[in-house]
Amino acid sequence: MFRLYGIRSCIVVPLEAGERVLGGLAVATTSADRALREPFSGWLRLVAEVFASALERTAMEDALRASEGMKSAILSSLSNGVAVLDSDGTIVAVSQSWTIEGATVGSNYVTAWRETARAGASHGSDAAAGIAAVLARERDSFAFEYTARDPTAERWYSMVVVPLNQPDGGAVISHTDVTERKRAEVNAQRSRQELAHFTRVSTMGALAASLAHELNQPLAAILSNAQAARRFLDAARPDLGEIRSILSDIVEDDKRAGKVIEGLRELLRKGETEVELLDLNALIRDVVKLLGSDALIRRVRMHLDVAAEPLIVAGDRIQLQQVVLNLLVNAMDAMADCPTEERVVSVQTELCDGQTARVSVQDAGPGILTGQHDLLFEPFYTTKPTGMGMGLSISRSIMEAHGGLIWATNNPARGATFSFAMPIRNGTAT
Amino acid sequence: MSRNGARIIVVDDDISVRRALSRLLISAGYQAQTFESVRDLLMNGELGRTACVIVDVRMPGPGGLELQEILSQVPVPIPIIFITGNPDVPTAVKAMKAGAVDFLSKPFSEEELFGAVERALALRSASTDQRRMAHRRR
Repeated sequence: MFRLYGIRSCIVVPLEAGERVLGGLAVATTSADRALREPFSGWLRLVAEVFASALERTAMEDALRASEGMKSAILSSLSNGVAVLDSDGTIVAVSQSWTIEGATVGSNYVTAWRETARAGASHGSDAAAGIAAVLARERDSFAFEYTARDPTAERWYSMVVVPLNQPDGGAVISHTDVTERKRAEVNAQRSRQELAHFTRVSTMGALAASLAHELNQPLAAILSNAQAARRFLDAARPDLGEIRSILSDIVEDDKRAGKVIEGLRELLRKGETEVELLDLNALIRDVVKLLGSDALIRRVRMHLDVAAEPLIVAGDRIQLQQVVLNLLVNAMDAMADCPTEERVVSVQTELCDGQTARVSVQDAGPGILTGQHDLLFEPFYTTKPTGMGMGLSISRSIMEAHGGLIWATNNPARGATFSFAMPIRNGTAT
Repeated sequence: MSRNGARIIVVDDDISVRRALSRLLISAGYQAQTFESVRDLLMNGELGRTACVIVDVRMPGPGGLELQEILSQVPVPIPIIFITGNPDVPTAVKAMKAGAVDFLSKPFSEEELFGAVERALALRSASTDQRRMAHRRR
C-alpha cells in the first residue's frame, strides 16, 4: 500500500479516551525530504488528544440524547400519573398521564397539597407531610389513598412517593386511579353487611318467641304492680311506703323492658362497621342473657365459664355478637332431638398464651359428620330443615375481618365444639 | 267476700313477677305466698292449706305442667292457674285438658287474674264440700 501511494514516511498515534482506544490518527508524506520525526510526532499526539476528547463528547451526547429520549418515552407511556420532584418538592418532570390540577412542571407539589389542606381537604396536610418526609429522607416511602371529586363522580386515588435515587435527592410521585377497585371493595362490604343483617334478622325471627317472653315478664310485673297500687290507694289509710316501693319496681321493670328493646334494636341495626375496644367476656354474657328465655323454652341449660381477666379485643360489637349468637343458636338447634337432661351448652372464654382470646361453645348434639368439617363454613351448607346455611359462613368472614379464626371439632364423648380466637389488645373496653 | 284471706301460692322464677303478683293478690284481700321454683314449693310450701296455685309454665327445672302432674296425685286436687310469657297452643291445650282453671298470657289484667282465682276458689270449696260429704256418708 505504501508503495502504491508512494508513501515515504508515516506516523500513527492512537485516539485514546481514558483506557479506551477510539481509533487512530495517521499522517503520511510522499515527499522524500520531509521525513516525519520528532518533534512532529509530539504535536500530533496533542492533536490526537483534542480529537479524542471531541469524539468522546459527541458519543456521550448521543448516548445522553438516547437516554433522554428513553426517559421521556417511559414517562409518557406510563399509565399512572408520575411526577419527579427535586429536593425542594418542585416538579421537574411529569408523565403524559399526570393530570393533577395545579401541579405542573415548575410548581411545588408539597405547596400544592398544603393549599388543598388550607382549602378544607383534611387529607391535604397528611399528604404534604408524607411527601416532605420522603424528600427529607425521613421515610423510605409514603403511600396514601384519597378521594377527589371530579365533575361527575367521586374518584379514589392512590399516591405512592419514593425517594429519587440521585445525589441531590428528590422524589418520584406515582398516582393511580383506584376508583374501580374501591367501588368493588365498597360493594363487597355492602353486600357482606346486608347479608349479615339479613341473617341477623332471620336469627332474631327464630328468637321472636323468646324475646316476647323477655318483654312479657316485665310488662306483666308492671301491670300487676300498677293495679295493686291503685287498690292500695283506695284503702282508708294507704300504705305510702308500699306504694313507693311499687313505683320503684315499676321503674325498674320498665328499664328492663327498655333494655330488651335496646338490645334488639342494636342487633337489628344496619350499618357501617364500627371498631372499638370491647371485653369479649361482657359481650358473651350479654348474648347468653339475651338467649336466656330461648334456652328456657328449648329446655337447654347454659353453662358459662368466663376467663378471670377481661378479654379486650378490637372489633365491631354487633358483628361479634352475631358470631356468638350464631354459635349458641346452632348449639341449641343441634340438641333439639336430645333428651332434656342432656341439653347443655357450655360456653368458655380463655386467654391463650397471653395474646389470644379464645371462645368455645360446646354442645351435646350428634356432632359433625365425618368429612363435613370443611363444608361447615361454606355458604349455603346446612343440616337444618329451615336453615339458610349462612350463619357459619358469615361468622367466618366476620372472624377473618377481625384477624381471627373460627373452627369446629367433635368432642371426645359426643357433640361438637365450635371455637373462635382473635388477638388481644391492650387497653380498656369503651 | 270469698277473698277473706284465702291463701294463694305463686310460683314464678322471675322475682319482679312474684313481687307484683303477691302485691296484687294482697291488695285484693288474699294471702299470697311466693316460690321461685316448683322444687322450692314442694320443699317449703304447705299445700294443704292452699286455696289455689298460680304457676309459670316454664321455669328452670320442673315447670307448671310437671307441678300439675304432681298435684293431681294428692287426695284433694288443688286448682291450678297457669301463667306464661310465651303462650303456645299445644301447652295450653295440655294444661286445660289436665284440669287447669285457666291459662293466662303475661301481661294479664287484674280482672283476668281475679276471675280465674274466683273460679279456682269455687272449685276448691266444691271439692272440699264433696270430700266432707263423702266423709260424712262413710
